Amino acid sequence: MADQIKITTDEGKDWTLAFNNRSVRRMSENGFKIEDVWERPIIGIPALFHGAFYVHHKGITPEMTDQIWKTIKGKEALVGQLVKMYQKPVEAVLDEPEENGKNATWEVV
Amino acid sequence: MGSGLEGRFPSQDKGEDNTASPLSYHEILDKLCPDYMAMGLTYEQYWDGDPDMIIAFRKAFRLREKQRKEQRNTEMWMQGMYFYEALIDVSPLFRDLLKNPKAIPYLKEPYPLDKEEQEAREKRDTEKKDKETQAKFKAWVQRANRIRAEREAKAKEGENNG
Repeated sequence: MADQIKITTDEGKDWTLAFNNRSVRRMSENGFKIEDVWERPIIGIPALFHGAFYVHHKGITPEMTDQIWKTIKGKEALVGQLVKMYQKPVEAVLDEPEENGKNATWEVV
Repeated sequence: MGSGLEGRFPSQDKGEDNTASPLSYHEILDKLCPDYMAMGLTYEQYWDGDPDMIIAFRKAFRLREKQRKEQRNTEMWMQGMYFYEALIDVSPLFRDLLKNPKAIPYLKEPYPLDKEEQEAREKRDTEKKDKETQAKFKAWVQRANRIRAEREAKAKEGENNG
């Protein structure tokens, strides 16, 4: 089971944040790129946050997600988790080479 | 898009061409959809399913493919063995030096596929041989008894005549 995030608001309302192929496709088609989160965070982060509602709460408006966003604590960690979750569907469909000891390696230098 | 996503995305705001980068996420997902459907995933499972389910499905598909290839490989190897054996069986017919060339009969049944089957066949063959030996011995005893009885009868006849 892929990661999901559960948000409970002050009013006791639960929201489940998740991504699947359809929601990622929809966001990407609408122009969202994951780099927007750190290159243009003012609009990138709200877009990522709003898109995370699509799987379980299709009808939610940006105004509502903005309202929820304002009340959330630990935003940095949440964004980090959402970035990972957003990338998961694409990583899932991209075929990883089999472990046979002949795989190329890479490192940041 | 129905729920207010329009205008939410940075590149849309700037009117950028979303297809300028090598492949955007939606292009990757669109491109791979038919591949996964060819593997057996449904359209709904691909688009709405859990990403972990897709990973598990791909691994299962790979495993199935590997098993299928191994099975096919074994079948091909087995077929080669049958050809090989058949050639050996008929090879006496192609030897000029033999006066009465005679082919060896081809296998009566396929090779056993596993150890269990092999052992069952060995047991069956041993039982068959044992039965044949018993039958031969029984026939030999009956024949010996008959000959002895005949001899005894002849001897008695000779005594009576003498």
